[in-house]
Amino acid sequence: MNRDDIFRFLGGLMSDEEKISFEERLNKSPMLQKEFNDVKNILREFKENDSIEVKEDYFNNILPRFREKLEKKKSFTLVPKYAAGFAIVILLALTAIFILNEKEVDESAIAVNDEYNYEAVDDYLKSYSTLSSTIISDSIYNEDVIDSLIADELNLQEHSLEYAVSSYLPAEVYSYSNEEAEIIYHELLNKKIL
Amino acid sequence: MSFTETDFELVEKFNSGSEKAFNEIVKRHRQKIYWHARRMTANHLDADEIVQEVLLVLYKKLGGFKFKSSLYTWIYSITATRSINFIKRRKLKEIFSFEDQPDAALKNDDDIIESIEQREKLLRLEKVLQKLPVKQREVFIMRMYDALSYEEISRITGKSVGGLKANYFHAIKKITELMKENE
Repeated sequence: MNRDDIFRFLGGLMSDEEKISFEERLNKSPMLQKEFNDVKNILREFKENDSIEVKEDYFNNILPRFREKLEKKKSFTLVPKYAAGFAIVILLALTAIFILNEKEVDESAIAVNDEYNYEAVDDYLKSYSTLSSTIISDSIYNEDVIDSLIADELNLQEHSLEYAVSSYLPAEVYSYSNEEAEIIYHELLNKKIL
Repeated sequence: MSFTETDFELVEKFNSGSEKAFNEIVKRHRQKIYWHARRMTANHLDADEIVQEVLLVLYKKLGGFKFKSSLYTWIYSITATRSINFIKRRKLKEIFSFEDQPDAALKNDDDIIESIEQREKLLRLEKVLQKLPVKQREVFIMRMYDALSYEEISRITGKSVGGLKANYFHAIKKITELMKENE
């Protein structure tokens, strides 16, 4: 393995004893000497290329170009911060505008506009009034339960039902218990109002 | 600005706000930075880009330099790291590019070498170096051109002396084979 020994020797990988042994072999072997010199000449070619004539302007201009880039970087780094801040302000402004402009629900308008259901409500409530007279009132106020059940069945908004119902239903209706409300609800379903 | 000012004095002056001190540091080390980058990338324009990157790092970090190593070792370390990172980025670009990338060593339209003969000779050697793995190339350049000991290279690169010796062994073996093929 003469060639590898050459590289180990030149690479400083040999111990002191190995170096001595290699040098002895080198002195005794012309072939090894030739191979050794070939490798050294190749490596010398790289070393000789160390001193190359270059355009001196290039090195003189390195610093001015660097300063120029540095100035540009300094001015550029400010922009993203302002841009981010501006974007946040815009976002907050849009959010505020959206919240403030949210339309309030006009309950009476909705109640009036639910005309398509009004006839059905009319018929339904007349029958409901008849039914309600047989129910014993309770102290529990169940307006919400009844309204939500009926509104759900008639596909009305609760507030529009309230508007319609207030014209027809006796006051007792609003004092039914949960169980009574459930009974009424199922009886209404059986009457097939819808 | 005296040429005899030590690196320590220059760094202290820079920390006190002297831009001239930074300029002097750059003047002392710019050629080393350029040539290491040039030999690693085999391309003048790439080397120039690395030089600018190194100067920027230097400018930003010099204030925090505590002289745990010599300034030269520190600057060389930055240059070595930036060079390797640049080569990795260049490789990624080549992988994800759909166009054929010209040989790095051939992109020398803006070369700063005045003599055509020297330019061609350098080109031949750079082509051989480019065929070495990056780590072997790095240690070869530091040993061959900067005559650094393995211990110094270890301080610069953070690699073990044993590993560096192995890389150098393989580097000179490969270079010898490649140069003989080109004869």
